[in-house]
Amino acid sequence: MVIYMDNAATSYPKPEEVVAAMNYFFNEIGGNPGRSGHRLSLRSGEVVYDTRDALAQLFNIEDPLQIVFTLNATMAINMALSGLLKPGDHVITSTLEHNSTARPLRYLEGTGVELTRIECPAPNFQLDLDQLEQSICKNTRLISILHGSNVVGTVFPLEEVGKIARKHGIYLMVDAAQTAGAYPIDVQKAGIHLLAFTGHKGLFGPQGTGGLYVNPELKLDSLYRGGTGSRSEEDRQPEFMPDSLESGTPNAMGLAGLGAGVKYILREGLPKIREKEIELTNHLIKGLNSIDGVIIIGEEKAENRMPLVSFVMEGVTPSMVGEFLDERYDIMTRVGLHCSPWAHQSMGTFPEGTVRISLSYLNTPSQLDTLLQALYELSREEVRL
Amino acid sequence: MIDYYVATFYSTNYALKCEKILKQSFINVKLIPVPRQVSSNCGLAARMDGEALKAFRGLCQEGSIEAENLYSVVKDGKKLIFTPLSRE
Repeated sequence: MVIYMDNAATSYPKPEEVVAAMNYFFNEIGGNPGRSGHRLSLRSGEVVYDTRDALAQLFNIEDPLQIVFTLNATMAINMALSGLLKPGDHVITSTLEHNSTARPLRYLEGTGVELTRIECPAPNFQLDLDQLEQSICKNTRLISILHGSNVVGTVFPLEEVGKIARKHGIYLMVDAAQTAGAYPIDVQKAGIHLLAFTGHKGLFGPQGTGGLYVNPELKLDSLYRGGTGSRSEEDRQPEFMPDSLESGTPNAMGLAGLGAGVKYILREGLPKIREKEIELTNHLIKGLNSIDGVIIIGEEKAENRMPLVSFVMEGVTPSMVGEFLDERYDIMTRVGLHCSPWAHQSMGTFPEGTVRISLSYLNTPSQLDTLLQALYELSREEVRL
Repeated sequence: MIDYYVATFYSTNYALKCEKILKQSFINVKLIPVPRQVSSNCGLAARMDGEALKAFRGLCQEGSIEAENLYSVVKDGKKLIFTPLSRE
């Protein structure tokens, strides 16, 4: 049995009902959602709508039809940034962003969009809210930030950022790839205009699912156009949501699984999920701190971080630690830069990167003890690499 | 003599949303392929009786659901005659 601790890359294992829902879709439903009028198409459409509805409940979104399904968070972020920002607009982001935001913003910078990056200083790597507010100028259109860092685990205070955005009349876009399903997100309370999420991490869905919530007051230009099953007599893209942004057959089988994952979360309840993840994170931090030579990156407390800890080990490169854990202990971790060069530059861990342990609700304390024992042995040089 | 009523929607997504909300309110509608007589959409329409229509209109006025058009349907031999209804 492997011990899986790479949940920030993708969650594994998934709850049983996720697999069951996909299996059922594959064997019993199969139709194209929203395309034909027969009963299998209708049932497929109901499955996809049900998933939209469950997500709306989870994020406190008033109208489920304001959610557009995508393949992943990256696609959702690209849709939002390219659909909103025009040359001459100013966008504010953070230095902890993943390449899913960093690269589209660098690209847009080349087309004439102005970009400001807000520092997240050590030791907590939290967003500097004063600097954020001071950076707002006349042409600032958007604040685009992640919710939880995939590198240090820091969770940004969305409601505080939302207040600043509201005060200055600018939009707020949140990349919830790491936090959706594991951390409470309320788009109305936090004043989020655009929320990008992936299905295959905290929401326990399969890979190839994700989405973007778009506040009704916002109108995005679509990156692509095509068949929607609606207004078929027209050769122009419909303007209503989600069809304006959602062309082509969706991953209905994947969305069946995602829906089951979201319902699992709603049933377990976010407070219970958070509580367990905080316990696991405290266990991990305490254990790592007791091992000589292990240096944890970032001092944010478990309450303000994802169940995720990045560290380096004196005298052993991250890649060697990862290889040792995999081969000797069947423990899966992620090492390196985690697609986030900006974050590692601001943490001083560029280009070697870190070892990242990322947990989920389904990890156990005894798995953590196995990990800690392995790292202890490695630190004592009781093993030959 | 009107046989039943049909509501059309902007898209299948609206039809599905409507069906879910109506079910929660115990209003009986049936989703059917959009009749060719009223639209060339490839999506779904809702078929309902007079009682359901009343409740349906109430929810439309509240803003909980959105329909594109409403029709009354009369069977005339093998033909169906669709007549648009006012939205009020």
